[in-house]
Parts: sequence; structure tokens; C-alpha cells
Amino acid sequence: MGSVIAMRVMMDLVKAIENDGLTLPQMLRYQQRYHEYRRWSVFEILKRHGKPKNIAPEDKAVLWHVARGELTTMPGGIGLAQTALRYAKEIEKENHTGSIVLHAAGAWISRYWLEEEAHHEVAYGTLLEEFCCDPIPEEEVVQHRGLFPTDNFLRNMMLQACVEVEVAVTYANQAKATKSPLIHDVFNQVMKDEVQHRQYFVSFAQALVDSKVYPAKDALAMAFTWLRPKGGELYGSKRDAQTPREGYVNWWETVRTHNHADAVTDQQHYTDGLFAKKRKSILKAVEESTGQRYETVEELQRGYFKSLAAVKQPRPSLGQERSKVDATASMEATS
Amino acid sequence: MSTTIEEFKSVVARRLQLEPASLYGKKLKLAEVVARSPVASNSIDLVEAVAGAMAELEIDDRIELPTMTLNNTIDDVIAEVNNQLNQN
Repeated sequence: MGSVIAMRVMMDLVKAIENDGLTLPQMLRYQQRYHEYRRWSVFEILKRHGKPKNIAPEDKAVLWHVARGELTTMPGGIGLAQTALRYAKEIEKENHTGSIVLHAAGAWISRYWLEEEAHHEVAYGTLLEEFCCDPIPEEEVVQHRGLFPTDNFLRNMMLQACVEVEVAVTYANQAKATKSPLIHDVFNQVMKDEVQHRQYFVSFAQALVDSKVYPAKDALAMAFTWLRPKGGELYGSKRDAQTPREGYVNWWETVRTHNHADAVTDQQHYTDGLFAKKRKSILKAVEESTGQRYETVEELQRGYFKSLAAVKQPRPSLGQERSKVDATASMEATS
Repeated sequence: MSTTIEEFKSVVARRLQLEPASLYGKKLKLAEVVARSPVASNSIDLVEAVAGAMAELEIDDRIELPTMTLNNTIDDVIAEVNNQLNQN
């Protein structure tokens, strides 16, 4: 199992399963061990710093958003974990390796992702409510708990990787910009979790491609949907047009940038530098999950469209035949 | 041979596994197209039908993928592509 110091997210799961005899119980123990190794306490950080004298307006604006965004992870995780187990059952006879990958994904999402994300929700919510702003109204909390539509699970994993990139870059930026040691430590700690979560989602995406549960194009689809120059999810609330969502919240579409007391500045959320970091990390996720290397979004688009040209009679794949739903569906959660 | 908008419409309809007569000219919102297609579940599937048709007809270098929401109609998409075909 290796040294605790050297622990990292396992990649190349399919090779390990098929060539090295890696079993599901071994993966589950490794997930638990890594989780224990990485744990931290929200209330120990808050106690260490004590109540701050004041929270700067820029910090308040970000807290207003992230405390709400993190609320959406719980319904996202519940839906994904349940879906993973359902899909695993559906393919267990025809694709044993793929089924084991889905079991591993379902276990990690339900046990560790949800637990770690609870830290984020509680940390930001506590900072918001106890130190600077009005609490989130109960009805708004409930609004953020809507279940997301299910979809092709590879798209889901890539979507989650994109969302983790989005928040990791945002939190790192805030940790760097703030003058508050408390805000710095909380955002920096949460950011480290999000980086790790990105890697887990990429690992499962890679394994779903390698085990042939889904074609690589489904990973390209989600990355392109996130990054496309006009209308990409990356541009969130600044897109010209938004599709209305019913029953759930895509938090990145609701970022307030103007004419609100809690609006974030462009410098905090919409700069070329931040966009470039996000693009680079997502293109790297594409490479890790599919083996296809793209240096730019334009190259990604060409590769993705080329992969579509050959598919003249698409057939529904696992997850695409049952949910007649919106959109960038499955678009979910923070993290 | 230059691609006509009729060829494009035909390929999109085939990829969505819908009859052209039931798909076009009826102001169907993209959300309704998703509901009717046996192979589309969400907006990414719609993008794949349109982008796939562009790639299959080898016009993806001169046509920009239209940016739409599910409240737009499939006729809006076709009009936008037709406009670009005429300009390029």
C-alpha cells in the first residue's frame, strides 16, 4: 500500500485491476486510508483564529457565494452515488472491470466526497453566519438541495472535475488576495480538498474510458461544454443567455457581479489569468482521462468534432436512455 | 460540392433519429426536441447532433457552432447555420 507520506489518488485503475489484480476491497481500504490521512477540523481552524475584528467587503462577497454554492454538493453526491451503483449493476455481467470502477466511484462519492464537502459547507456557512453576514434563509438552503438530473456517468465525472477546477482556482485566488489570516486558512484548506477531488473524478473518468464503459468522446464533450468560447459554463453568469433550471441550482450561473451588495468583482472571478488557469487544468484533465493532448480549446473542439463525424447512428449509452432532462444536465455541485 | 442547408437539416434529423417533417418548421423548442428524440437526453446530445453534422459534412471549419439555450427553437439553429453558410 506504500508509505502514508507518498499517498495520492490512484490512477490507471483498469491496468491495476486487469493486470495487477487490484480488487474492490483493496481500493476501498486505500480510499479510507487516504481520507483519514487528509482529514482536518473546521472548528479547530475557527478556534485557532478566534472571532475576527472585521471581514473585508471583498471577503464577504465571496463568502456569500461559496457558502451557497457548497450547499449543492450534497444532493449532487447523493444522486451520483446512487446512479453509480445502479449502473454498476446494469453492466456487471458484460463488463466486470467497468462495474468495479463504478462501485469504487460510488463508494468514494458517498463516503468521502460527501463528508469532505460537508466540511466546506459548514466552514463557509459558519464564517458567513457568525462573523459577517446574514445567515442563508432556510428556504434558500432548501432551494440549493434539489437533486440533479442523471446522465452519462463519464460526462458526470468530467463535469465534476471541471467544477472542482472552478472552485479550486477561485478559492486559491481568494486565499491569496485576502488580508485575513482566518479567511486565508479556511480557503486554502478547502482548496487543497478540491484539488484532490478533481483528481479522483479524473481517475474515475479515465477508468470509465479504459474499461470501455463509455467512449472518450464523452469526456471531450463535457470539457468542450465547459470551455467553449461562446456560451461555455466557464463563463457562468456572464453568458449572454442562460437556460432556466427547474428544481436545482447550478451555482456558477448565479454569481452576482453587478448591482448587488454581495457582488464579486471581475478581479475576484472573471480575469484572463483565472480563465487561463482553469482552461489549463481542464485540458490536462482531458489528457489524463482520455490520453488525448490538446493545448488549446480550439484544438479540443477540432478533436471533439472529429470524433463526432464518425458517429452517424448514435445509440443511447448507459445513462442516456432514461433521463429526459435539461441540459448541461447533471451540471452540478460545487465542490 | 457546396453543402446546402437541406443536407445539413437531413443529417441533424438523422442523428436525432427524427423525421425532418416532424422536426422543422414547427417552432419546436430545443427542450421539446430533446423530449421527442429517442437518442437525446439533454443539451449536450443536441450539440453533438449539430456539431456531428457539421463535422460529417466537413463544414466545421467555416461554420461556428450556434450558441443557444433550450428555449431557442431548432428552427433558430437552422437559421443561424444557414446564415453562416451564406456568408462563408
